[in-house]
Amino acid sequence: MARWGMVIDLDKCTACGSCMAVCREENNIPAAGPALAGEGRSIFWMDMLTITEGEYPSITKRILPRPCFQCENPPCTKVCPVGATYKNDEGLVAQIYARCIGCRYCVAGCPYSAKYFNWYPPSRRDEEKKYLNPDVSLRPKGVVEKCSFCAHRLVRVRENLAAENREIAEGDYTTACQEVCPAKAIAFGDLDNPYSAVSRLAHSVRAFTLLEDLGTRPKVFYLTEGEKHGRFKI
Amino acid sequence: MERRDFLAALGKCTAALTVLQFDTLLAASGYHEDGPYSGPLLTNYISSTCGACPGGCGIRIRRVDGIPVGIQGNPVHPVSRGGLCPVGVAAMALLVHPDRIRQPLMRSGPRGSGQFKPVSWETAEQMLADKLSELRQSGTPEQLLLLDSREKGPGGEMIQKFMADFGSPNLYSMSDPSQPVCSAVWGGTPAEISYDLENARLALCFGYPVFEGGNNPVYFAGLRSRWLDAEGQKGRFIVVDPRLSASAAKAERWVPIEAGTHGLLALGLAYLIVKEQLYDARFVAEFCTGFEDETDRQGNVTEGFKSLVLKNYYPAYVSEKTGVQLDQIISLARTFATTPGAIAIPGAGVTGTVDGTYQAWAVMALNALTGRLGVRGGVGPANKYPFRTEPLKEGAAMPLVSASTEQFAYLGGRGAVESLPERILAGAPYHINLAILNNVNPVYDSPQANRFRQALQAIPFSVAVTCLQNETSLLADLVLPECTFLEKYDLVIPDSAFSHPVVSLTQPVIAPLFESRQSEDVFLALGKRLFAGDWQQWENYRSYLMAKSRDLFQSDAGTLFSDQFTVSFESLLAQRGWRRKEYQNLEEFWEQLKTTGGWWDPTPQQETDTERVPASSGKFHFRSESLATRFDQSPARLNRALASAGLDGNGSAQMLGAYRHPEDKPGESDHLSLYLIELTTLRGDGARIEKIADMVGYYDNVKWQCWIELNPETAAKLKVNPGDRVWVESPYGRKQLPLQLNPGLVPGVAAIPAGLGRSGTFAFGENIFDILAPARECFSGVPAVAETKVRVYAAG
Amino acid sequence: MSGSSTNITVRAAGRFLLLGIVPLALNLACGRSQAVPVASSAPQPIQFSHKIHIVDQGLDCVECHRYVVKNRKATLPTNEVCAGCHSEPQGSSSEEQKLVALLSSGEEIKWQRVYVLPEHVYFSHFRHVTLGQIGCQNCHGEMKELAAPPRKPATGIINMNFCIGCHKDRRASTDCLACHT
Repeated sequence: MARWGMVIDLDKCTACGSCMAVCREENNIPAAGPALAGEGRSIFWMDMLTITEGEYPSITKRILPRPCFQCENPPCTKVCPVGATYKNDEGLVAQIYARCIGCRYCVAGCPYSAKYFNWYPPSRRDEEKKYLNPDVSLRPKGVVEKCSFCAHRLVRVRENLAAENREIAEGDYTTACQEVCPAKAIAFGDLDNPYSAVSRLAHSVRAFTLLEDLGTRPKVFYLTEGEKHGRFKI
Repeated sequence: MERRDFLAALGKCTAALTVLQFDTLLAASGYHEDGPYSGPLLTNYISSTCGACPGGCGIRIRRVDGIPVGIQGNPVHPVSRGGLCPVGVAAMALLVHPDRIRQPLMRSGPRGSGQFKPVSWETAEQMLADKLSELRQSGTPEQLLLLDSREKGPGGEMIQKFMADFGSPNLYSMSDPSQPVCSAVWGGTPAEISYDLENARLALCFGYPVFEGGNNPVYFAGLRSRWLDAEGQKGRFIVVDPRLSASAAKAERWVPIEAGTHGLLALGLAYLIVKEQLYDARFVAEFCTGFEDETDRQGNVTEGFKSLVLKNYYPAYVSEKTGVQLDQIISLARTFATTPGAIAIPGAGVTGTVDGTYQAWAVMALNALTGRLGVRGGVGPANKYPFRTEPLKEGAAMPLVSASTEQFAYLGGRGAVESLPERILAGAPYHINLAILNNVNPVYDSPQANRFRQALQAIPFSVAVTCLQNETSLLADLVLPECTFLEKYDLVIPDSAFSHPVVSLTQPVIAPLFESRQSEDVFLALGKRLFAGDWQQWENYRSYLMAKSRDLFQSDAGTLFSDQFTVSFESLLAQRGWRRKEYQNLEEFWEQLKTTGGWWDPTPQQETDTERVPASSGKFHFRSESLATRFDQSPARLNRALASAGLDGNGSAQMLGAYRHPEDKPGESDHLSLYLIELTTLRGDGARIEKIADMVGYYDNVKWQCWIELNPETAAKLKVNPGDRVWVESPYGRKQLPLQLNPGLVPGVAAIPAGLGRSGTFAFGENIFDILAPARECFSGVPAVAETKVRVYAAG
Repeated sequence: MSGSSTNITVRAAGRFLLLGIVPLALNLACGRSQAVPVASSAPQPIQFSHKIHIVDQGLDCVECHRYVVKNRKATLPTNEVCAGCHSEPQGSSSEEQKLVALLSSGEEIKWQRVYVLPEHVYFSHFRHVTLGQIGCQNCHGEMKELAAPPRKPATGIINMNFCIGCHKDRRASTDCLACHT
């Protein structure tokens, strides 16, 4: 059984925002618009965190793309009263919209703010609906959603593998953000496969996860900006 | 009421509410709507080229039952290699954008009122054809003005042919002329150059936010990745810029510098390189002129670059003026000179100043000093394409409408476009009767938007070809609906820093929506109506492109896009004089072009020691011969241009080392220099796509707003607080913006993102171009942004 | 261990409800209702007989539901499919005449979908029919016995229990993410 994980190389990442944009296209996430965005209710399954330190001119700015970390020990699943969010056998932290009752416990429980509540029905013009991704369902008002590691792709991959009668191999299952990244900063794959790029990179000395002391054990690792900042943790 | 009763009552209320709102909720959920996908959900992918900006990245469009549902990168495209920028990714929204022009529109109200009535294509085309033939028959074809967005590639060529056959010289392109103009100064004539970045190992980027701005940030992101993965020495980026942009933050090193002093720093580096004997003496002796002092027959000594630099640009002075610390300057100079494959690249922050050509020249001088011209991993000539260019019909008798006042054009600059409004309004040397604005929007993005607005209103008839209704098309008499890049055919030459020739195919993934029609097809149809001869041989633009692709097919070089393994294999074959033929005839070639997405030439550029400098003269001039010639011809004219840049006249500025930075250092008064922030999300029509508008400012923590950034120190001095709304006032207007503190910004600079304040449905923010000073670069004529001095004060 | 933690969760949820947070209850109702597929109750445009096609003419399902073995959706027959046989009348029934007239008019026949899955369910015919070797009648019942077009799903409403029952029997995945995307 695979254990899906991701490694984001901050040395390669140029903070271009393509991952944010492609995620919204792939997963049919509507734009929030000025009013909702002003209330802090825009949805970005993949968001960008900025940390600025120091004073001019010796100042550093770190920019980190932030998907759902798909924690090994996810705080969000433990507080869900209806089992709408849970960790499956492959380590994917699932969010089942039809089950979700919108209590937002998980939103409060996630220390990384990776979960989003649909406060309003998505505003979409009829014309636009034709060009949505048919593989990902539209979320109604009142449910929580988050990065799924493009789990809908895994379903299709499985189907193709069954047709070809073979086991899943490195590179079969990719996420939209990994595919589009112009800097190839995102690696994705099976952390339990010792030959996969992710497991190799996740064991790099540069690897770190966010808020390690909480014990959430994220499956999304960052590779720190190497020698540039001379340190390995935030 | 007891607590228990209260809770029970509340529970009942909840239940009642549940029943009440149940249906409403369901209806709003969107769950039970029957999707558009009643078909079998058959998926296929189509290779094409992104047209969201001129960068020309390869895309692969996922279609389900023939409906495009997603844009991905084309992994075999040599420029973008599977990557895309956010705007390209979200460009599907252009298809049914609420501002999209859906049928030809005729103005029905007064100009600028935005009142239009739909007309049929037949009427529109007939009207345009009538206007055109009227001009021709009256013997005044020069009264036609055409503003175009591009000049490269078969599409641009067709427009040039159209104008030549029509007999009007007034074809203006909106592309940035800075680089060719700079080449003219140091090399003789205007020429394009290229940087062999694939084999370079250090990019010293002056005023160039590589990962956000410039031609193609996607290419640079991929390049960086390849540099980091390289065996042996890894490549590095150093960004010299007043602002800690994402590019500067993500580069290996950021060198903060006072706005507009890039050239000075370059000369400071040159000082150290010369002083420490780190320059390539052989190259300088053989391929450069004006380096050493020269003594003429009379015994007069003319100082060379070396003497001038050693005399004027000692590091302590440069450090003081540029704000770059002395140790930084020393380490930069040594790193640059001793790293094999280091290239210095001047960006828009350098060229967009009054003396931008001089500053860019100084940056290029670093490449010349270290002998990085014409070598692997250095600066080379522009990419060559196998397209045959047929000679255009002899130029019209009439000069350009803007020629009589042209102070810039003699170096190939674009001053022409900027001086157009005055000439049109003056009606001299002749009137402009008909203007075609082909996918351009000068009323928004020109610093003299108002002048352009007035000029357009003075033209009797103007036609705008555009996909989305914009500031310019709102003033037009006839608006023609252009296709998005997802609905058209084209052969695109990507505007990127990639040093191999690439021709990328655009093909439709969906039939043109509404009544949109590809502009090239409209011009072709007009050409067929108006002119005899070869216009008749092309049925439509697609067949024109197929004919053009014959040149690629017949050329003995190049190959179709393919994976890295195939590319290396083919390069190996090519080195041994073999060639794998993937296609036998033109039809096969065209079909494979459609599958793979394009053609390119992967063979490395030839290194010849005789023609190392990519310039007509074959030399790098530290003393500009082209400027000397101009000076001899008309000293007054050159001096006027130099004076406009605050440079010393008397011809001494023909010498690079004699370039002086103006003495008054910005930031010493209460006036701040304006700095325009370039953002990836604001490329092309990015700001008009709702999902992208939603993202703008994502790493600055701003949403749906334009903003102004100040250094905390500057803000304290001006007594303005973060979060407040402040006025930004220049002599040309003022804007109210929320203030953000950015400790990564040079004090004395006000940074504001450029590209917001567009018209239309998802408009937000302020258009900062409105308050730009009309100052321009002295030779290229591009707007000199930093010349705009602003006052910032609290609002209300 | 796990029991006690569930208890805590349930108690926590209970307290939450008692506090009267309205959206919770609203969304509870909304959430549950999502699983109910809505089939069209409108009559079919042609009184079509599966029996004649399958039993009398010996046609296979795939000949009309063209994509059932190789794609996600089986698809209802398009005009082109019907016209393969019925461009000329094959018999004398009035319904067929109606069909021939419709076909010659070029108007697309608006078959009413009987089996509609909610949008949040991923279902692939290819996966079930071709890879899983599950006969059509498992979900659709004995269509060959129907002389009139079906107005409602033959095996009763296909809900999640129906799917899960079969998935358990055949040891297929019962992970929510296997179908809900």
